[in-house]
Amino acid sequence: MAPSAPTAFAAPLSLPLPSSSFHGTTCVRRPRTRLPVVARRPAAAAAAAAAAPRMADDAGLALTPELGKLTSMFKAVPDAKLRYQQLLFFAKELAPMPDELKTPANKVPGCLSTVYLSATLDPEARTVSYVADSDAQLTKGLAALLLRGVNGCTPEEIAAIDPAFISESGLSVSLTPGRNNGFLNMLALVKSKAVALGAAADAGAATVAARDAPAADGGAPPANGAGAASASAASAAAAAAVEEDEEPDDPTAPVASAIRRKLGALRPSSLVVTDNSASHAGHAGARGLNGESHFKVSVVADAFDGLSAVKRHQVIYALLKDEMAGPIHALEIEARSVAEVASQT
Amino acid sequence: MDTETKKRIDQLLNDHKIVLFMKGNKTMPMCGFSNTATQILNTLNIKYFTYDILEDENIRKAIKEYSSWPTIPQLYINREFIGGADIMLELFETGELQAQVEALLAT
Repeated sequence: MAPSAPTAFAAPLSLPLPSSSFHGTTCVRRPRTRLPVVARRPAAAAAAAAAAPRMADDAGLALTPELGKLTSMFKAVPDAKLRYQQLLFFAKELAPMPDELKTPANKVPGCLSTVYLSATLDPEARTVSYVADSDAQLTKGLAALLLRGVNGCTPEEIAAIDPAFISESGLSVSLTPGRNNGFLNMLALVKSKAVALGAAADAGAATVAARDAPAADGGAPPANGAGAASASAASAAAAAAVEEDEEPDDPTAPVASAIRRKLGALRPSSLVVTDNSASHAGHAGARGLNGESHFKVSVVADAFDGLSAVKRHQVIYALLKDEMAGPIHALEIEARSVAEVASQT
Repeated sequence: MDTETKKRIDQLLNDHKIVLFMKGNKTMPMCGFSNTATQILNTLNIKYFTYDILEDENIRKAIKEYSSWPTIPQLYINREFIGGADIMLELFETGELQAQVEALLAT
């Protein structure tokens, strides 16, 4: 599924659909619980890690040690303009990125500028390193900041990063909603690549293959940082989508979990729930950067056989009555029967 | 919903054959989904009436009860509720929406 305008609805006449600013991509889930660091580093690095324990700043955020330092550092900068200058300074120090790594799978979705991100895993130390580049100085600086914070960390540490550091550090004040959104997407891609690499390494796959694993896009389930056993690689996504509704609730995404659970009553053969909230941040009616307000559900179920589109949507609305009355501000629905999908493929 | 508001909705649906309850208006939609709805209707090159639910909190709540539909936008053709943006897109793609409109204009 494309992250921008729904390609499934190719109209007979050319239709000027709204730009991708309203149809966003997977938003980052905010881990609200601190996750244990899996200590799998060789002895020397482990000793160093023990000496420099994971840093939590005043707000008790889960961050890598380096990111914690950077957050505190930015917090201490008195002036929004100075924070901005610091970012531009970081941009200069970003190591160059080879052109061949600038592939679609490495492009940060939903970003105002063009940002590329590539990751590799050191199989012995089980740490991730990234290279990045952007055509705009500000986003380059943000990428450089992020990379400083995550380079050399384990997939688990990276997956656990609480995006609240963006506001905690005072950076979000210096960024427009669009830039904030882009930064969140950058972090999401950083995390999903780390998780994919970690899972692939665990599965014994080659490091190179893992690096080229597609990033989580609008169609695949969002990268679950909470110890996801299955990689977010595309091949696993299809299987995961079916298994999703049998997994226990994810405490870091209660609304998404509730949606999955309740729509499970339809016994769907496919159910994909995407949180598009981040792309709506900053527009009238959005609920800030907390997410879990704008969703898209794609459901394939026999239950829809013979039902008109309106009836199918009403069935879904009825199942999600509580959520519609509560946190859900907007719900995009794609409801197809098994027979319809079969005839389309 | 109170009878006064229901009467107003009934009246709107009686006065105009094609009514879109949306956020914002034709020239300035205030939401991506409302924008999608107006873009589709504009492509059909027909006359249609829009009501900005952001202007009236009463209607905003009542229209959701009226159609048993929790979201905006909402399209009505000949007083009948057709659906929201997703459904409009589907119907447009299959040509059904054009057919419905043509049938309406023929009467």
